[in-house]
Amino acid sequence: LPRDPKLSPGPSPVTGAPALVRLAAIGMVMLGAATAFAYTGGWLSPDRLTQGRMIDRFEAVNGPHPGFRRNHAKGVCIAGFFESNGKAVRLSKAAIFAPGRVPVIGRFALAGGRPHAADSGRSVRSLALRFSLPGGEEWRTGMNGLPVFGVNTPEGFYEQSAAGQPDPATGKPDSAKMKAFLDNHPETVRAVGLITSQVSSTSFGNTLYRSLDAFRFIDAAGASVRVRWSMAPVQPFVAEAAAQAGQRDKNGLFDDLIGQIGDHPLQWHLMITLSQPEDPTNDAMIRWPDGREQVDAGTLTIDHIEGEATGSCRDINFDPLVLPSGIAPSDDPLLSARSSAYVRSVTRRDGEAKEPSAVKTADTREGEHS
Amino acid sequence: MTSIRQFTMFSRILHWLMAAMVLAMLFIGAVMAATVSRCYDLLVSIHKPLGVLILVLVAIRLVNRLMNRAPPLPRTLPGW
Repeated sequence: LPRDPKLSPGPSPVTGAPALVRLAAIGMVMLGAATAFAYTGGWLSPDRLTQGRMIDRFEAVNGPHPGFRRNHAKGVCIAGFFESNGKAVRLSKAAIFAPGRVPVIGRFALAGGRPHAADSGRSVRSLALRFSLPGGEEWRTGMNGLPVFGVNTPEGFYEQSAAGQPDPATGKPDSAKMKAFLDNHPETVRAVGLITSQVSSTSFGNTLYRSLDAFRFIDAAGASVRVRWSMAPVQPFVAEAAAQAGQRDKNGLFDDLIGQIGDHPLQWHLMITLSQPEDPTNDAMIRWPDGREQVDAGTLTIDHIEGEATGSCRDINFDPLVLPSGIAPSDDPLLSARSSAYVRSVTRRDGEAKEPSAVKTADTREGEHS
Repeated sequence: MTSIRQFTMFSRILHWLMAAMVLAMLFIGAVMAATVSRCYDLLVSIHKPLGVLILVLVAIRLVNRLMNRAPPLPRTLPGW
């Protein structure tokens, strides 16, 4: 800018000791601001649970698997559509519930951070979906084939995975550590009891997947109702024999699924479960009683399956807080915990080279020979 | 031509408002990128619209600066 010595009013220059005092004061303000910033970012509190530390824990428990999701690492891409029957319009104004069809991209996976783990009947199966709504909105949801979550807070999850971490000496989890964790968390003991007493089905296709976390549906008048949802298979339930659970091919569950979808589309009903006032929404370890009103909102049809290398699900973050207008989060602390930790996992894997998935579909097998 | 003694009142309000907003963004961002607690959802839902609002104010600020001349720098300010 031009300087005009005649017109510039400015005070005379400050020199000597007064200048030092002023500089020191400015320095203190800057230092204070920098310290406050470092504190809020968690850099001064090594014991505070942060997104980075949560993902570090996954990497410590499962070993480094660059390029893969830090949890639900082994999976396959699917696509299809959701056909709404209009019955949930009275509960939520979300565009997805208006009668009609929306495209869906998704992913079947096994819980756990090992992308090359062998399929077993004990593995928790998951179904993640992204519904593309008219007008550019999206609804993303990650559901699990579990009756309840085994923890209800991010801290609980962090401690539980530490307790289950294999000892480097034996290669197995330290049972004393797990016992100490369970002694401190009787609620997890109850939840694990529910989880282990659930009879497993034979395949991804006849599994019931639940949101586990609670949400709120908001109708056109602004009234809100607290809900959970699930995908109930049209494919008949077949209980997995105990012997079968342990003796599976390495990729048996996925190969089965690929064969089924190659043969005919698989379908699920989107069931909305309405809470009663006494049902907790902030505790994903507690089942709502059987017999709560359920609304069948429509049918999910999965007619396409593709490996992660070419499928479009690999880079989607199935963030449970990506919700359309008409669906809102509840006070469940796991929603923010999942959303924030997923973001950290995405940030890390986006910057890493991708390795081929253990799951081979026809398209990826062909790719290997060419 | 008359000399300009100071920034206009509008410029000064804009300046300090944006200073507060940018500082808030920094701190919200730092917590948002670290926390796994329930405030994550709330902070993200503040951070996004606040960022867009700052972008709009930057545009207004540019137009304002082109329309209103700034006063000259103080005489005592060194060349660097």
